[in-house]
Amino acid sequence: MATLVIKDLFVKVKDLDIEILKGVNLTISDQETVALLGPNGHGKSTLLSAIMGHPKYEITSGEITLDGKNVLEMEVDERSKAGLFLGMQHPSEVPGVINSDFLKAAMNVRREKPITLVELYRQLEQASKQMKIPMDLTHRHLNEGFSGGERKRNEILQLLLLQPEIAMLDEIDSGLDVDALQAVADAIKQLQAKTKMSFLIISHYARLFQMIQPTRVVVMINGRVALEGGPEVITKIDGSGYEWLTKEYGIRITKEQKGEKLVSMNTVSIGVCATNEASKK
Amino acid sequence: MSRVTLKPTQNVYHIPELDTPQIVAVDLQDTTTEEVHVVIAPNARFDLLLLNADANKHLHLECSEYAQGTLQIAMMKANKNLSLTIVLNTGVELDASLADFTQGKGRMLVQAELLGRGARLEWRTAALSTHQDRKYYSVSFHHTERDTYANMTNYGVTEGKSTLQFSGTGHIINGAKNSKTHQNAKIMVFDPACLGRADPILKIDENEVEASHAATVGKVNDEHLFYLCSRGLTKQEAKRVITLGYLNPILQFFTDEPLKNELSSLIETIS
Repeated sequence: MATLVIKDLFVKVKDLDIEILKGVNLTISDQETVALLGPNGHGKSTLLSAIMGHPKYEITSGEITLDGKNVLEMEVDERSKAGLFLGMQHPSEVPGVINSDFLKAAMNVRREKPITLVELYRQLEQASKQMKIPMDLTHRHLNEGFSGGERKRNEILQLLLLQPEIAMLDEIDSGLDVDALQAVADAIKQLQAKTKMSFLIISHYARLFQMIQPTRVVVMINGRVALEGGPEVITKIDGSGYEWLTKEYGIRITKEQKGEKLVSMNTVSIGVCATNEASKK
Repeated sequence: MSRVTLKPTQNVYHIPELDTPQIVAVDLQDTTTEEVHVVIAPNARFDLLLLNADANKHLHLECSEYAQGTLQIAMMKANKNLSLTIVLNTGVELDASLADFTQGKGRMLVQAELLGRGARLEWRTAALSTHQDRKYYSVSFHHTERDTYANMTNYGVTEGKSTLQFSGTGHIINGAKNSKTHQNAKIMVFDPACLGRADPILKIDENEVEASHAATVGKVNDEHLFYLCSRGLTKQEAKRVITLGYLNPILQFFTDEPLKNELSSLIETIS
């Protein structure tokens, strides 16, 4: 059972100099399932990406520790090996990289002896069956040509295979049909019951949360944790949006910060039509 | 499929119409002159393997009428110069793949003459350029008859302080109606000190044709790297996996198992 502590975290977007997180404090441990809510553009995804070490973000101040170890000093792969997992909102398509080869590599980095092929296939088959992913998907290129729902299920498949300490899931339920949502919820419930994993889960829909029963609810507004409470907060937000926070707690909700959307243009790399386009940085 | 190695007669190889499918290997080190000729018989079905194509020779490959088959070229030398002219007569269908995963420098010049009506050529390159390598590839298609088709797909990865350049030319002459010429070059650039360059050229002297080119030079996608690393792969491993994903697909076009394994282990050893 691991403890993730975030202390007074300030994060900005590297290229744009826009501050998104403005002093986040949050602790996750004791096999908790934390529901992370908040209006669009108030820093939920940024928080998860920053914890995982996305190169787009710069930590300007604050601390993140996992069982006392300084996460901010770790490379992205070290964070993964230390027990952090991020189920992405938009998992990348990586052309040419075979899904099963990638999974094998990811599993091997946390084992002393490389996994045998038999064992790999046994685990892959079991997880694929559980996530209702056709087995042949694991032989295709990573997320390439996968439907939105297949990608999300593939993220949970990885979660099942990698068994992290802290699982962060970013809108894992968006774009899923009823059956797929059930499969995802069942997988989370199974992990809640059988492992010591803790969860930090972003979703805009009460439905997933009804299925997985969060132990705690955290609402992020204006780049900060504005409110913590029990599952009743979800019901309230689902029924009457975020405006009641202003009335009851006097929290002013600033407009959606467009920063994140602007930045995504800068991440464009391969795709420059280029006669005489020399490879300058 | 088994492999037979042909011996030249006065620096000319003749590839006959075969009864059973076989891989025919031609080793240019068996030849004594700079100019070497390979002639493929009319109607032949063939899998031609070019060994030591990089032995500083000039190779003429003549595909006679309605011959159909594959050409597989693996560059195995550190310093290489390849000069290859392919003649495609009426109804010829050729599927050619070239893999270059060895270190070194060289100029590889490929010229395809689509002389016969309905001739078709598919050309693929996969090249890895590392350390101080300097590799220059020029592939040109010359469409002189009607209804000819040629397409090239050149993929490359450049790392370290190396240079990799793809130059592609598609030329359709006046009168070669209904011909199609396409090209696509993609270079992945890994390090700040390496250079990738793609020059697509189209020369079209006829109206009723199809022609296109695409060229992409870019650094590895940060999102891809982040994704792979977030599952525990180090940056180095992630780059390796991406490079393999870029270059490995060419191997499916190599039908000779020993050579395929050799190529595969060459890619595996990259850092």
